[in-house]
Amino acid sequence: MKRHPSRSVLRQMQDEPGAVAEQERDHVAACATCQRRSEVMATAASAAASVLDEGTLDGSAVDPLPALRRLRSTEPGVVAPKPTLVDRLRRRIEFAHRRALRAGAVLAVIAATMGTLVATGVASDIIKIFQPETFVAVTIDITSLGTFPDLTGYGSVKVLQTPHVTTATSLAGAASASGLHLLVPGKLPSEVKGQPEFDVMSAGSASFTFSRTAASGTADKLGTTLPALPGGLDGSSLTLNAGPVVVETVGSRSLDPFSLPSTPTSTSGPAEPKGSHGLLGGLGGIPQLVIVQMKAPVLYSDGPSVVQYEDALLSMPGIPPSLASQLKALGDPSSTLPIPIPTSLASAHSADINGAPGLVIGDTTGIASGVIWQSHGLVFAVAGSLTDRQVVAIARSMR
Amino acid sequence: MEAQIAMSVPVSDVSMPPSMVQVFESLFVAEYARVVGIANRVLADRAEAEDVAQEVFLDFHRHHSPAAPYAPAWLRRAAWHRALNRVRGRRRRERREQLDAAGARDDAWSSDPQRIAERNYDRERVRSAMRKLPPRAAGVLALRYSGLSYAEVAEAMGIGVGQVGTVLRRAEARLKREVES
Repeated sequence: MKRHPSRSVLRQMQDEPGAVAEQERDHVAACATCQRRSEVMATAASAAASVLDEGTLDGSAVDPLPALRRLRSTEPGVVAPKPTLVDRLRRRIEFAHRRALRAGAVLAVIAATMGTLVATGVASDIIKIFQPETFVAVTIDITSLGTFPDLTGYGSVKVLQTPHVTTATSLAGAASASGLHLLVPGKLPSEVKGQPEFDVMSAGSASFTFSRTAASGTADKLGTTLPALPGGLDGSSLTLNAGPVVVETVGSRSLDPFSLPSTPTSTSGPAEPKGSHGLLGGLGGIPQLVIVQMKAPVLYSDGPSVVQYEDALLSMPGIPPSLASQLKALGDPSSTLPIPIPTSLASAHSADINGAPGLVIGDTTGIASGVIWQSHGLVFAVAGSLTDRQVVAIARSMR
Repeated sequence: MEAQIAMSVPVSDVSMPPSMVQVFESLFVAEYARVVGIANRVLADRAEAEDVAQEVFLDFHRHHSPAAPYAPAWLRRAAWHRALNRVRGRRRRERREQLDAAGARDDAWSSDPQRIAERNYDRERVRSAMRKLPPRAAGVLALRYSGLSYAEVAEAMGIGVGQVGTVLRRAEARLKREVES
């Protein structure tokens, strides 16, 4: 395709790449002119987001019920039969609670992703776009996670655009809500049964501003000293745009895809029933199949170069030396996204997914597996209570 | 556009039958957060955004059928229009500025005078930008940045999906220029 896509298409591609024709995406991927145009648009979009940030609703969810009561007091016609209303109010309260949980979990995921990107130096020069093309496993000693500081140990995180989470009962509904062109798996293993359900998260954005003061505080807590920082790092910001995301779940829904699993607080309690599957039984059931399709996260930097970030952040206190050396040995930092793999819990290997390099992660018990890969600016993941061969076969069947 | 829609549909009776009341309340619960979110993008003021949402739903309830297929799009567009009208209303703006200056919009969160000043500055920055932009540009920013998909933005603005990228791109560029000037 020789003709450049219109600027309208280029702009939509930044938000909803799945809605743009594959031919046009391929053209942009190989066209320096289109990429320059995209960068100009991304700069304007980032500036707009920073101005409009004040219009982001704060963390407290908007509750329609008091507002409905207020409207009723104004407009007597808005009155419903009592039993129905009570039932509906209860359902809405439960629904609102779930949405709030999901939104919080989504933000946590964005912050965690951002932390990985920052810690690995996956940033580049001003406004240059980062998109993961390759996923590489890096092993982590799980015992070191207890001392691993979160992102706020090095600066401040600010949510610029709060994602909204909705549900859909059909692929078409999820595609419409997300704006993504969703792929469909081929034949599924016989043990995967049930109707698919869809959770859709709209795009979200967050920024991280590095602070020498915060990093010094973390160093003090860890009983060490802050290494020398390159000029311009203090106060510089990284902005991460993520989503939209569609999560398709088949089988058990007892684990909400947008909520974090709760940590058991006690080992006492009823004995595990006979026939339950160890870890799975304890968690209350992992979905048989989960398919995630999302726009690849994009990272912007207004500060130091990628090399400076890598050198400075990997020498920060709290980053295990073995992890830092693994990350430094990775390939192109502008397109490689490391996936931390706990050594004691899982193993990883690569697999070809229809021409794209995929990373297969398996629980060492063989109970659950997953594969992640990217194609045309979209990131895909297939996981579930299946073998690694099964998840790879499903991934390869997606069209 | 809002006026065109209002004229093209039958006006419902204020006293709805019970089934229609339920339909309206379901619509209210489903769309309220979205409507507040859109208004808040323009106003940068949660309480005022909720006031706008009340006006929008009240207006819809008085003049439209809750079962109308265009209901969500109508509500979202009305939220943007009404919020923008508030920002552009000179008398309202002056009154707000007086109240803000007097610290009358106090609450538990913003009892610190410095924080009030910072919050007022940020709020006015958004409102000022929205005031200066052409209505269509302000609208597409409010709709898109409140989380609507391109298809939803197109429906609310009454334009083709293919046009949203152009309108949004120009609005963002215009906003960037306004901020930098």
